[in-house]
Amino acid sequence: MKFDYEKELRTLFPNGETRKTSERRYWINVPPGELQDAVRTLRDKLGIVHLSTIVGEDLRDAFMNSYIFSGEVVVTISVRIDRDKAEVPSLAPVIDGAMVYEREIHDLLGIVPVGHPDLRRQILPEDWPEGVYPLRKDYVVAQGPVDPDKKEEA
Amino acid sequence: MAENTIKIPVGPQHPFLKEPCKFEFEIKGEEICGATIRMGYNHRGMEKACEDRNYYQCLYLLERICGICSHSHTTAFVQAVENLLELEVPKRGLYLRALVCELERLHSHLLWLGVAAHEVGFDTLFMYTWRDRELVMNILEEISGNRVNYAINTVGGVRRDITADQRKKLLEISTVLKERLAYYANIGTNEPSFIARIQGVGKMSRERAIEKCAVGPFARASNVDIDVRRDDPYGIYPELEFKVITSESCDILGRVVVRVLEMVESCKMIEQILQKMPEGEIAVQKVPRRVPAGTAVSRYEAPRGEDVHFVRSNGTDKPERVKVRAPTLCNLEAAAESVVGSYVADIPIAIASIDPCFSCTDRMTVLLNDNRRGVRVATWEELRRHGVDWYRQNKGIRF
Amino acid sequence: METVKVMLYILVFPGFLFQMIYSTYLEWVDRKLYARMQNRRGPLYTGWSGVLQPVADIVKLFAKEDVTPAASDKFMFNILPLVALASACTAGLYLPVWHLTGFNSFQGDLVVVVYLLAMPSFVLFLAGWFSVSPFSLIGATRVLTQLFAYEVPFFLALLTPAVVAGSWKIADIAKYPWASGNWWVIPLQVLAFIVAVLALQAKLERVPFDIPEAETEVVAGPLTEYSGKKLAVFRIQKDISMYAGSALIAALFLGGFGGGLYLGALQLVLKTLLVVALLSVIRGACARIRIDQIVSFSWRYLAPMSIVQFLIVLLLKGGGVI
Repeated sequence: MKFDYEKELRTLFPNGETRKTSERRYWINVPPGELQDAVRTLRDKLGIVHLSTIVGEDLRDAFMNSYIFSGEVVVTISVRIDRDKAEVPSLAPVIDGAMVYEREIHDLLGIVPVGHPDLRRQILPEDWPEGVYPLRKDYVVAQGPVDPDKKEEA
Repeated sequence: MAENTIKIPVGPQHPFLKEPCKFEFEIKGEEICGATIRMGYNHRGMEKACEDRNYYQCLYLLERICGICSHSHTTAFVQAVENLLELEVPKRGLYLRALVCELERLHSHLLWLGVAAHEVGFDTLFMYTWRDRELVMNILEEISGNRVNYAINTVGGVRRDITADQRKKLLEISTVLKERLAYYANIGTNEPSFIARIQGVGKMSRERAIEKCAVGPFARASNVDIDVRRDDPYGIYPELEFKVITSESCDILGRVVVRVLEMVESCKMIEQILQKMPEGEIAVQKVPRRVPAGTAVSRYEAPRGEDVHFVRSNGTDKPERVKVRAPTLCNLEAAAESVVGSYVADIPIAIASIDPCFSCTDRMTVLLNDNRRGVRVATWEELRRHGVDWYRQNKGIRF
Repeated sequence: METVKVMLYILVFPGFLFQMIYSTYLEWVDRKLYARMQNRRGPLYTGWSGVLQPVADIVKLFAKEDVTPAASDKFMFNILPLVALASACTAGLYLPVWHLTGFNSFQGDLVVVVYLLAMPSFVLFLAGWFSVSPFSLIGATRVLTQLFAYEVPFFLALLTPAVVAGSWKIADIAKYPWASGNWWVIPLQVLAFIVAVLALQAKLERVPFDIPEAETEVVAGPLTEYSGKKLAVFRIQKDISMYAGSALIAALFLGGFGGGLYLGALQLVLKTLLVVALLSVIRGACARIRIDQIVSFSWRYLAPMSIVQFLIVLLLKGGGVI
């Protein structure tokens, strides 16, 4: 008989609001504090080790990080993050491959992965101003790229 | 920085990099003892740009993420959108998608094989594989109208059908390629000077590959048995027979072998697709413009590995968030790590062994020429002058 | 009159002009062969079947902007291309081309030619050193490392025909089969011939030994900072080195260019072409090896091969067969 992931996920994450949207796609919500434990559970109990990617999102009233894990099925662990305190525990100690995605999200959305060993810029140029995050919804593209020379002229 | 080491910058412009990315290698004599990566030189703001466009415009934008695996990104995207719309795509459409996908894999791997040979100075193999790649490029042009950026995908199916004539040509090409591929497999595993450069170089153990979440041929060459086509079957792949090629050698030789054998599998798949392709519609006739709110994750086995698209829709005709994760991103760090301990001469081939595609990896900064707000794209002359002035002021370099 | 004659020797034949024209022709043959091996057409448009393409390339380079890096040692940077060209040309002067004895030929000129042919490599090292760029520096050290790898087997291989002929004079060695009638010494020295051709390939820094200027690793190695005229001079030097090297090997191992005016000219063309064709085939069939691999390859295979050949010849010589 086929392994029933939905049931298993519900027992493993009793307060995780497990959803199934389509074939082989499962979604779980966890609070930021339980993220690392949830990932460990997923890894140790279900053997899902491959982190496909981390999606950082601006939901306007909050941020959301979705950790997409894939094995036989795709399990997405979503974490809601406060807008005022954009911090989330880093997955780097649990999964090495998470580093690169966390850096990207830190660059573009300004969500700080606490405990990440190396938060240099990865995508934005060095002269990009601090505290401007292009993927946030309040960043309007029509303003255009920030001109690094503006300061010198003023 | 350890003692007696010098840092050599590789990139953003360097002959072995076909696209910009910066590596900094710490070397001691000829041996490498450290590597750091800086990406972002190709960041075009596509994910942000997608939020301002409707799904069809996004499709054309995403097509242009990368020239080599353009079909991968659009397929992954339309799969996600179709999932949200709960569309049932006609079988023939799915078969055509898979056909273009396998052709793309062929041309991408042939390109890679040539580039890899060029990185180790084996230009003869480079010329041969690129010659054969033209066969694939020509048929792709005939099928889709374009050599790259095929624009054959649309939400709910594909835009063009193939003719009987093209079908015949495809079969011919598949036969020719299988023969040539056997020859390349022979060269790749027997030519002593080529083997000397790729055997035991760029080692990446199975454990590290899993930890680093490596994907695609790079991971498969480290004996990680993953292939989205089999593990998370999409489209018509459940109906096709194919082997997932893995290698236990964990080095560049393994990556060459995996890719060459994968191409043979692709040829076989193309034959199966042409054989099994049913008649009928190629696309859903009426596709709603508005996509119901929801989220979808779509995975796709691009030539370089797993391509993931995440789409969040908000009930309008524009997506709320599109996230693209190209395969190079997860392999790049692993590749840089695999170089440590080998020689400077191994840098190009080791980095190239993941088939890096930086325009996929960096996606996002929109170029604007908006006169009303006084923002414009700098001309070449202005850029040059700016660069000269900047260096004169800040670095005291006189030109 | 004597001065004019000397000047003609140096500047026209077998000196600079002849060497330049003939070496560009050899480069064309090399490029054409290499292209055919890769299923390409090679040069096509300049002159008959692109025969003038190497000349056109050099002319183009001469017209290009010439940049001297600010950090480099200007004097050395500018003078080095000429030193390289001069040594390659001078090496060519001593060769007994056509049916002639080399200009100013003397007992021991073989050593001088070998020395002069090694000069461009030293110059390349210095050029890399003085242009002060990371790529040039790495390239420069690679030039020297490689030099130590191939130079000894090369010299040992060239020693063999000298021992056979019992002379240090290239002209005498070339004449030996004609004078003694011992044509069988040519197949006898096949091992040394192979070593010499491989070492020449390394000397000319061509695949699989193009490690110092491996473009995907160190851009152009020592020549990274060179452009315009100076790069053109290095290009000419490389062509002339190829001509001088292949003519030297042809003179020592393939029986020279004796037999009178026409036969001599024909032999010169055929024999140098044969050596160049061998070089092209090697270039077409190999990948670039690594610097550590060339060192071990030279000392593990090339040096023992040349020593074995040397011993065979010595034994035969001691036995009075030759």
